[in-house]
Amino acid sequence: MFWLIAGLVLGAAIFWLATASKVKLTWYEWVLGVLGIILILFAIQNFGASQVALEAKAGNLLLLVFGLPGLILAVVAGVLAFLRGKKEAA
Amino acid sequence: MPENLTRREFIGELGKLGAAAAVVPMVAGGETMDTKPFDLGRPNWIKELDEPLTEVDWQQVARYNERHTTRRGFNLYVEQERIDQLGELSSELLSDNLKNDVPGYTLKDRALQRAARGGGASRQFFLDPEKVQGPDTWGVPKWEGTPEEASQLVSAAMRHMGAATVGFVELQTETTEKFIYSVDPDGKELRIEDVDMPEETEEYRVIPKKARYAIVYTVQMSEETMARCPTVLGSLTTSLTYTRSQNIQERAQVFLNGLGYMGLAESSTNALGISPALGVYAGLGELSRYNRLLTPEYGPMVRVFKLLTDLPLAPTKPIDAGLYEFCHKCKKCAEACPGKAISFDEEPSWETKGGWNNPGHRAWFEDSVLCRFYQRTYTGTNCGLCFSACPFATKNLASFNRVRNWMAATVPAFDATFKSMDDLLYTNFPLEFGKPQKDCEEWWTLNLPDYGIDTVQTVRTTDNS
Repeated sequence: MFWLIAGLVLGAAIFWLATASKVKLTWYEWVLGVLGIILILFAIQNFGASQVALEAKAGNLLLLVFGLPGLILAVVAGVLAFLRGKKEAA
Repeated sequence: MPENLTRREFIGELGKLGAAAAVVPMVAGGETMDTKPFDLGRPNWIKELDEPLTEVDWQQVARYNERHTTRRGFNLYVEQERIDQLGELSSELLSDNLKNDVPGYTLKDRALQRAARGGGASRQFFLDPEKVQGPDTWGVPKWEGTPEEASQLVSAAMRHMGAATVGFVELQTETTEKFIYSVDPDGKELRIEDVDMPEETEEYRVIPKKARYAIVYTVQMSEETMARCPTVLGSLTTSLTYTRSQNIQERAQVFLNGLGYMGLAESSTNALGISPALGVYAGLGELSRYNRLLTPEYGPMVRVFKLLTDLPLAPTKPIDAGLYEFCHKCKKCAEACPGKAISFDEEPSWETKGGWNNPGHRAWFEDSVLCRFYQRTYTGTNCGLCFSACPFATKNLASFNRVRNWMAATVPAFDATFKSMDDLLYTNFPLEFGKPQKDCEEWWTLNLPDYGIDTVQTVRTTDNS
C-alpha cells in the first residue's frame, strides 16, 4: 500500500511539474531530481525491509548511505529550479 | 463468429474454436509439455554451465570412504586419548553452561535442541520403506513420461514435502558416480552392480547400476537461529534441518515407489554420497571458501541431501551465480572461524589438508581437525560461524541484498566492496570473536515464521504466469 500511495503521489507531482507548473525544469534539474528520488525510495525500501529482517543497524546505515545523498540531490534540484524561477520572475 | 448463424453453423464454429483452443496451449510458449526443459525458475543472470567452475581431475577422484571424515573417523587423525579428553571437555562445558544459565545453553535451549534432533517421526532407509503401495497394488502400469516431465514431477513433489531446491545428476561411471561413497557411515560397503534390484546385508548395500539418477535437494535453515551459533540454541536449526530432511527423504521414497520406481536414500546422516559435490553438479549452488555448497537462493543457509532412482530424470546444469568468484575476494568465513580451520588463500588449491578431504578437485580445503577441536573444546556443540558470517546469509528482503546478488553474478569487480559493506552493515562491533552475533535470549521473544525460515525470500520466481 505504501508503494502504491508513493507511486501515485510521485506520478502526480511529476505530471504537475511537467505540465502545470510555472517553473519549467531544465534537463539537469530533472536528472538530479529523479536520481535523488530514486535514491530516497531505495533507502526507504532498504530501511523498512531491514527492520522486517531484524537487521536494524543495517537498515539505519542503508537509510543514511542512500537516503542522505538522495535528499541532497533532490534539494539541489529544487533550489536550482526555485532560484532560476525567482530570477526569471524578476 | 458471424451473426445470424443456423444451429448447424453454430456447432461447426464451436468445433473450430475447440480445435484452436486445444492447439493454442501447445504452441503459445513455442514448446509443448513434452519438450519444455525443466528449470529452477532462476533469473537469467544466473548462468548455466556445462562444467562447474570448480575444476575436477577425474583421474585423481576415487569413491570416498565416509568413515574417513572427521565426523566418523576422528580417531584416524587424533589419538583416542585426546578424543576422550575432548569429549570430557565438551560434556563439562555443556554441563557448566547449563547450570550457570549461559545464554544459548540454558535448559530451554537444550530442551529445544533435543526436540529438534530427536523429536518427530523421522526415519532413514537405504532401501525403500516397506509396505509401500504402487502401480502393482493399484493394478496399473508404472508411470511413463519424458525425463523433463519426470524432473518437473519430482521437483514439484519434493518442494511440497519441504525441499527448498531440487536438482538432478545423471551418474556417469568414470566421473560423477565417484561421488557415491565406497563405504557408508555405518561401515557397510556401497557396491554398484549390474543387478535388477537393490539389496542390503549386514556387510554391504548394493546399488543397481540402473539407479543412475541422483536427486539432490536442499533444505533451508534459519538465518536468525544460525546467528545465535556457536551455542546449543544456534545449532538447533542444523538439527532441525537434518530431521526435516529425513521426513522429506522417506516421502520421496514413497512417492517414487508409487510411480513404480526405486528410491535409494541415506541410511543415516551424511550417508550415500558427497552432498556438496552432487549439489554443485546439480546446479544447486557453487563450492564456497568454507568448502560447502553456497546457493544463489539461500546463500549458505541450506543443508544438502540426495537419493538415487531408476526413474529417468533430466539433469540440471552446474551454475555460475558469481558466488565462487566472490569467495576469492571475501574470506569473511575464514576471518570469523575461531578454530582457524578455513583457508585464507587467494586461490583454491589441489592440495588437500588431510584424509578427511577427497582429492581430485580444486577447492579451499578446510582443516576439519582444527574445526572439531574448537567445537569440542569451546562450544560443546556445532559451531556454524562460517555459515552465519557469510555475506550471502542474508534474508534478501532489502533491495541492497538483491543488488549485491546481481552485481556478484555480473560485475565481480565490486566483490571486495560488497564484502566491506557487509562488514559495516551486518557485523556487530565490537566483534566478540567466537561469540554469537545476536542475543540468544532475544531469540525466544521473536515472532519467527514456521521453522524460522522465509521460503519466499529467494531470488527464484514462484510466478507461474
